Amino acid sequence: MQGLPIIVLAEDDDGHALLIQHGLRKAGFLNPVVHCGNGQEALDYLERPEGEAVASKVLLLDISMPGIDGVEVLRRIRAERRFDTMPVIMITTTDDPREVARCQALGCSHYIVKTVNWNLFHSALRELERFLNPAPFRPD
Amino acid sequence: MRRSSSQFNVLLLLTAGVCFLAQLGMDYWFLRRNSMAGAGFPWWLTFQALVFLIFAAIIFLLLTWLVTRRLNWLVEEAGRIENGEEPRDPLGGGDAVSRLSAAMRRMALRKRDLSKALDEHSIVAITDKDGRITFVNDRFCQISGYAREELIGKTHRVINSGRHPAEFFKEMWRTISGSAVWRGDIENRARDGSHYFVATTIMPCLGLDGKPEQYIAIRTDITEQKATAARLELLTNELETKNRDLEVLIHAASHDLRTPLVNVQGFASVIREQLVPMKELFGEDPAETPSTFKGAVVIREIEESLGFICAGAEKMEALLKGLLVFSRLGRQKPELQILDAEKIVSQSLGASRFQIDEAEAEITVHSLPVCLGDPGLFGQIVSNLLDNALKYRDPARPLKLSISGSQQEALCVYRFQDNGIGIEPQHYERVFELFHRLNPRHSPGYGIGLAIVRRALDRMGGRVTVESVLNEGTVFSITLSSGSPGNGNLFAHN
Repeated sequence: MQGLPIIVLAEDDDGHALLIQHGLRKAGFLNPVVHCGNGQEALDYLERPEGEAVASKVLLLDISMPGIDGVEVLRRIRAERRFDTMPVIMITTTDDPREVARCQALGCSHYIVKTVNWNLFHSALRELERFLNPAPFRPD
Repeated sequence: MRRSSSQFNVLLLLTAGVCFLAQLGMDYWFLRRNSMAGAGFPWWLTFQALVFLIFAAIIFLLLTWLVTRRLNWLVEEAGRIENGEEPRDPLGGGDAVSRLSAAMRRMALRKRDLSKALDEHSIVAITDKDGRITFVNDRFCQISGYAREELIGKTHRVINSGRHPAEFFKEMWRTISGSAVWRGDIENRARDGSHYFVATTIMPCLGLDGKPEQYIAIRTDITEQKATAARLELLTNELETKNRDLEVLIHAASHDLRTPLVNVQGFASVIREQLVPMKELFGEDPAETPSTFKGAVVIREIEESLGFICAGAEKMEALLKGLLVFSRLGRQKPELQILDAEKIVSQSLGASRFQIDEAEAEITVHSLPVCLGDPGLFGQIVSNLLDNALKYRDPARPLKLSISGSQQEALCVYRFQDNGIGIEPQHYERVFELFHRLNPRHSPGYGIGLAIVRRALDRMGGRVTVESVLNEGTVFSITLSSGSPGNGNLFAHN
């Protein structure tokens, strides 16, 4: 499994974090996942020296988080040139079109709504293949 | 005729006087020439000259008296008018002075009427150039609670409420002493301590040197309006607060309430996944052994409970979604444009293709006129009416839905006619209420769809009506502006 990007998951709700990881595994993504409990933790992780190989990371961002929220994290990351190539995927409960438009304007790569319907959520997660598994990938 | 005869009299008297004086002069000159030629100066001539002189003096005095008597009347009348007394009847005689007196009377009456009208409407005060009150009308006394005598000679400080900064009055004085009119709202204090508001106009009355000699202040009582405005502002603030609360609530609904729901549904699904290996463990056939039997029963119960949990969570999410849509309808400003109704209807039908096929519904779309509306809102209306027809179809027969439209001058009417379960007439109005469901146990809806339809139409100035026959079907008619030039919006027709 060499070469799979690391998933940096910024999510304050532990239940959601578990469900997302579970869903990712179920969708066949075997990428290592780093769970950060809030926006600041995610930023700190990305700032770490070993985090410089940014091409190998994908950020999954919840929007509503205490302290620095997901939109702010997105804004800060997109302000830095070295993170230009890093995919940032918003993963949130809000499907307000204004919020989606705001994140798209700030340069998010993809927007996933955490639907209550589990099946819908899973098919949404499967759409992440192009970010999480750049090489052709076939689940057994 | 009177006027010309009076003028003739004066002229006659004057002519006679001039003739007498001329004869006297000629006699004197003639006799003096004679006497210089040697003849004597006769005594009777001196006597005659004296008589003529006295006569001339009497005529002169008489004329002067006649003229000054009438002029004095005019002067006296002018004084009376200035003091505001009732004008007297004009002088007779028909000469210039009598015409002048008549004109003065007319002017006086006009001035009286104007100030009366002003007094009827306004609070009036006049001050001298230093701001000392020289006149106040009854309304001024009435609103301020002061007697006239208490005000005359004082300045307006008597009624100063203290609510305006000194700069306010400084600016006012700068304006009016610079010969300009000042306008503004002033809060004053009456004698009893109550405050009142007056919309004020102060006009400087300029003297011959172009500088103000006095100021006329005309005011209107706006206390009532101010109170209303204050109440309105209070209500507006309250409304804004409530709207903010609503925003918070909507955010809570869209995010905070859904967050735990995601967990409920997500972990229920995780448990359900775990049931798969457990089923394998206990086997599908419950009769094998007592322990596998018990295990299989437990698994079945868990599965059943999970079904309720998931259904409940999904229902709750649908409710939250409906609420969100409903609240967004109220917040977004509709963008009215000419809509291709047929296109929007076919898009909505396309989006619901799966449900339509599942229900084996037969949907007929007739030719539809264009209308004036917001594309998003119109789409919401169509998809919710379609949804409503699908939900409340009669299970005994396949759904038939006919969508037609017609244009009646300024209005477009679209009809959605179905053969569903129908609505009783006493429920016509209630079906459009939020969260109102006619048959909660048996209907799959949440009581949001038709509320959205009505709200969307409200936003576009349209309306929706319903007609129905129980067990036969329902017709929803929506009316919108056709957008043809020269018609107003629908509010004009309501």
